[in-house]
Amino acid sequence: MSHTFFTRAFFKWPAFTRKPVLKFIARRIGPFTGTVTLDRHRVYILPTRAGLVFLVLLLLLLLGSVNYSKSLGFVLTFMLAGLGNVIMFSTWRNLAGLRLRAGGCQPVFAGEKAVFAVQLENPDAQPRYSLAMLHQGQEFEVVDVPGAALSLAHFQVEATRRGRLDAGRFRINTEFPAGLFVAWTWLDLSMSCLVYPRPALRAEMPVSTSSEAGGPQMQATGTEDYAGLRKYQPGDSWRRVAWKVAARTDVLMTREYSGGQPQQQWIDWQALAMAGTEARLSAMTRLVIDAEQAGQIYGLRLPGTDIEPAHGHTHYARCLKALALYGDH
Amino acid sequence: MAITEHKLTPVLIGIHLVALPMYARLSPYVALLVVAFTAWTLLIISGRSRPPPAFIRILLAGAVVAVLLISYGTIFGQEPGTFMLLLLSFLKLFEMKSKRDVLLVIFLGYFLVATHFFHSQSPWMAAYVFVVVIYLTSLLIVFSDRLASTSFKTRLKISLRMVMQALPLMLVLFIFFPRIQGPLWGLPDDANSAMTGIGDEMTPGSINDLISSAAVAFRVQFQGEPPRQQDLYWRGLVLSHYDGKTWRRDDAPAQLRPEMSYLTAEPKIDEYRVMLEPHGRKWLYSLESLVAKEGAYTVTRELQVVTDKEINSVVAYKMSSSLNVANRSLDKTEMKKNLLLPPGLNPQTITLAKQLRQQSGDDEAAFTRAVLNYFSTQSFLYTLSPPLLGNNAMDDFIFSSREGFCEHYSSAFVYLMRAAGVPARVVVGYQGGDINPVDDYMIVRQSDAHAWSEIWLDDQGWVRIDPTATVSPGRIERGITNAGLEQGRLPFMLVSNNKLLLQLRYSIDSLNHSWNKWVVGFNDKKQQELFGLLGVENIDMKTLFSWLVVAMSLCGALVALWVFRQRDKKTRRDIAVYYYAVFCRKLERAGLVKPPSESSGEFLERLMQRFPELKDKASAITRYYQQIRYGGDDSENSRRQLIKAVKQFKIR
Repeated sequence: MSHTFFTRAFFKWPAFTRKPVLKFIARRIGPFTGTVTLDRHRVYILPTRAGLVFLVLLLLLLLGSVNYSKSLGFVLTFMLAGLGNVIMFSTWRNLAGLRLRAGGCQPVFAGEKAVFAVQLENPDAQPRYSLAMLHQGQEFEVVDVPGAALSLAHFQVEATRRGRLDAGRFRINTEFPAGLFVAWTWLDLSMSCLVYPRPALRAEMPVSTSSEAGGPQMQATGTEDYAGLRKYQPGDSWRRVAWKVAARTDVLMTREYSGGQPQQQWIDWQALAMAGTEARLSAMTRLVIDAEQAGQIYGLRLPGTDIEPAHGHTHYARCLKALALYGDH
Repeated sequence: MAITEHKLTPVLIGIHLVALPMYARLSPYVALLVVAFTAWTLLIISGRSRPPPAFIRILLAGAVVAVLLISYGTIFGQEPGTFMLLLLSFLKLFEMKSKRDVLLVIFLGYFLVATHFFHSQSPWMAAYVFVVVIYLTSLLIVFSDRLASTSFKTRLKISLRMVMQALPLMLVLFIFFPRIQGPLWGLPDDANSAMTGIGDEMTPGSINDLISSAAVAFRVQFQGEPPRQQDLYWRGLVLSHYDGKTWRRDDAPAQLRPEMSYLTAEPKIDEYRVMLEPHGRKWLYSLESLVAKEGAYTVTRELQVVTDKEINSVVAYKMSSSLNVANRSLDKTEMKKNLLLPPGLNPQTITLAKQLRQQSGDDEAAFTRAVLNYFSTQSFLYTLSPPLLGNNAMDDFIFSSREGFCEHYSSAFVYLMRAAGVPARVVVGYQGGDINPVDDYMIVRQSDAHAWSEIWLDDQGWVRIDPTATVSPGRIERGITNAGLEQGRLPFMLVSNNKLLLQLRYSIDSLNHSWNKWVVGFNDKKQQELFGLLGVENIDMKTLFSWLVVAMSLCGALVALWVFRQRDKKTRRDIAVYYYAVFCRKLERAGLVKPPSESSGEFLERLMQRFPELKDKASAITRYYQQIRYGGDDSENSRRQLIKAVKQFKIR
């Protein structure tokens, strides 16, 4: 369920009447940084379709009680009316008071989906049930938050372009405990995700410009002689981890090869003969991925940015980030 | 959300809980359908059958309608309509596809429980419906709990809590909601079925059927001392027309008023208030003889109190009666009417009447004594199981069987009087009543149903004569249980001498009485009366509505506080968790965040590195927390210390 009965109707209003409403909402939904407590200004509530049917039921019961002059009919009707009222408060309370914080987001390549996490903290002792995370009308996850605990709720956004992807506002819905009312909140926690350029299917540095170290080393890595194991250090290629040893001893070891250090390679903007910035960035991204996977030592040359040759996860991320944010001011 | 088979079980149980009080009334075919649908649903739940396809379901719906038509001749009306809704909710179980289908069944359930009140508005039924509402509400929770993380017990607990929280608003609405007197449209004929009470005609057996019922006819509260037992004649109807078998009403034209006169200068007047149980008829009962009443009821020349509408719910009314008053309403037509006998019947009785009349000469009082004397000397028997009478019913009774109940004696007496030229008629109603010592009011039961006679004496007007008193003085002086009747025919709870049982019976009836007075009988008049007690007379609907709005807002705010507060209400262990979370939040503000994965001990280490000056306080809090949470020490003392420490904890 993406929208309630009412919100669907709202989107059919003429644009000029929607604008002030949206502006009013925008003041309440952020973007915010840090922890946001869902106070009464941020939790909205409306009856669901089932809630409206419940209302009709109440009216029928009332009519019946009047017509047949059954006092206990009135009692039942009024009890159910009171129940509806309590359910409204309870639904509202299932959301209100919740504390939200931006969770992390792993960088993705353009064309993939960025997964954003939101941390939900329940400061009360009572658990909160069935909180649904929605983004742009689509529901991604339903979570419970036990008493005095934290839960994570995720949503995905299609990363179409490289650069920074703003998560925008998300919505948390709840119909608990009875499905007669839906309480929700809109919130923008200034979350953004780094989007790397879409890697080209394949790319090669032209031989002539692969300069100092030269291309042959790219093949050379595979033919090195096995030299022994040393303790794993951050930055070592996963390909060189001795997994069998790791499985046996629970210690990560990296295989070392003789035949000297892997040769350096420069992945150079200037050296690529391609039309268009994006195509170039795509090709370079592919080269960075390949080089990292091959366990090479590589450097990155972009107009205005030079990243000295190195390897390992941090270096890899640094290079990709530079590519992602190229030209971004 | 798809409804899996196992989720059907609680819904099936719910429907049965809703329908349980109806089961005794189901016609055999309807009962068969209920059993069949249940069995099929159980097969589906256990995976041994698949839900029937659409066309079978349509056929089944057709079968439901057909069965109802066969059993009741209609599918409208209150009873068949109710059963139709019940059967359709069973059918709905076969096509549970979405949450919406389940909601529909639950809502139908809420609606169906209301129909129980057509048959009983007793506190027991109310309690049962209350329980069913809690159960149905817990079903609502199942279908909004998307991760199925609540247990059955948790759901019941939430549901119970919510229903409890609904009670204040219910009370406010009940008191303040303006009562419009129904009906808004015509009631179906069977709107009020299954009521016991005296009917509007009398044949042998019609009263003695009531004797075995301990059901309450009405309850009475006297202003002062109640009259003596033998003066408690609750007048209902006057039956003047006799066709040889049945006594019927033959009232004087409605515009004629009764002519009453007091017999003494300072008559004793009893004021009392009656709470009449619904009996589905258009009359009220009053103590003989009525002198004043409250409310828009008509008093006929026969001193019957009649209403415009059937009494279908508890009615309360105030009346005043006196023993020192005479009804002197008799014109020529009435005189003729009250002397009429069916022609050609009971020759022996007529001869007897003439004979006794001759013996006593012109003195009608002496003649009356002679007739009563005849009953007491000729070994007449007072019994609940008299033999059947033939065409000449009076001859058979007076000269051969000589066994009868109050109906026989009153009609035989009236017959003899009329045969001798004394205007006479039969009166039906109740005689007696016992005081409930718990609440000091009088209970009159169906078993107190009685018939007596009235004769016209020129100097005294209508005079009550009860021939039963001659035959069985105990009946009138000490009530039906002391009338020397067959004990087996009387209600068990009335004849039992067990003190404890008696006490229990009175306590339960007292509860019923208050229930009727304040809940079942709560109508526009009672509402006025209630506000009258608070000093607001004659409140109009507009004022009432504005009061309702005010009361509802206050109540809503109260409930809101209750709902919101109860989250912060903590169990002992939760208090520790809560205050530890407060502690963490204080640190968070200072930039030290505790991820959920980190233990409190690890967090303390990190904290001490970052804020060495907080070492003592932070480690004390951590220690208390760990003690309460994991050390099994949840004493009041350690909790208090934790709360104090957390409240005093400050980061500079």
